[in-house]
Amino acid sequence: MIIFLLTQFVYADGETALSQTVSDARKAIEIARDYAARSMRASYWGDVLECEIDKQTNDWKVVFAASPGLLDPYYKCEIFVDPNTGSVKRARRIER
Amino acid sequence: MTFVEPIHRKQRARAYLDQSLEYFENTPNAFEDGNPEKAGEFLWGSVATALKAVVMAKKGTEIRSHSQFWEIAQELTRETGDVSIYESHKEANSLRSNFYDSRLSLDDVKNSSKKIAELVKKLIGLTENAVKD
Repeated sequence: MIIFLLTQFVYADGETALSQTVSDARKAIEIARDYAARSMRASYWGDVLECEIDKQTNDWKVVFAASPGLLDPYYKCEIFVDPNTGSVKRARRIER
Repeated sequence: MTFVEPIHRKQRARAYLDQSLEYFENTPNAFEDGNPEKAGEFLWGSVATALKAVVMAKKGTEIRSHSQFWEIAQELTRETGDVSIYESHKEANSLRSNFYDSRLSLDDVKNSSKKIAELVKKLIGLTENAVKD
């Protein structure tokens, strides 16, 4: 119920309490990093290889290197972040 | 957290390994001097710098706090399944404390040094593997 109420609360600029507009790359990387750590077992974050607005989807596309463990190698991942809500729309490992 | 570029990682990791071996090789001198505190400090130093070497070689980052050594030892134990890594690290850490407490005898430290030698050897192996890649 509380979550329902929070999602219904809309600020004057159109954002809800649980959404956020992503206007810069720094914010997009922050969201991607947080998501990768929570949902992709990316304990070790490497370098950001790419961060730009994807021409096809208009989402923030963040490509980065990450690793699940100290002894594991880094692999390349990409995460798409909705610029209007800050939600992660798609996330996948590109290569090992 | 600062990441070291891959081309510099090997060099830094090797420097840590050299330091680790130097500490370890100094331990017998402290035994000969009858100084368990100093010997324990050398052994801990050897383990600490070997752990720094592994983290530098694998992830290009520095260990910045004492609590991180514990976290890394736990993580290595989890990932390799080798419980002796954590146990020997714990023992090395007690030698570090002994530098201030002076509770352990020379024989205690000598006994620990065997396990710690094994640990340092394993950590060197992990680093060498990473540096080879």
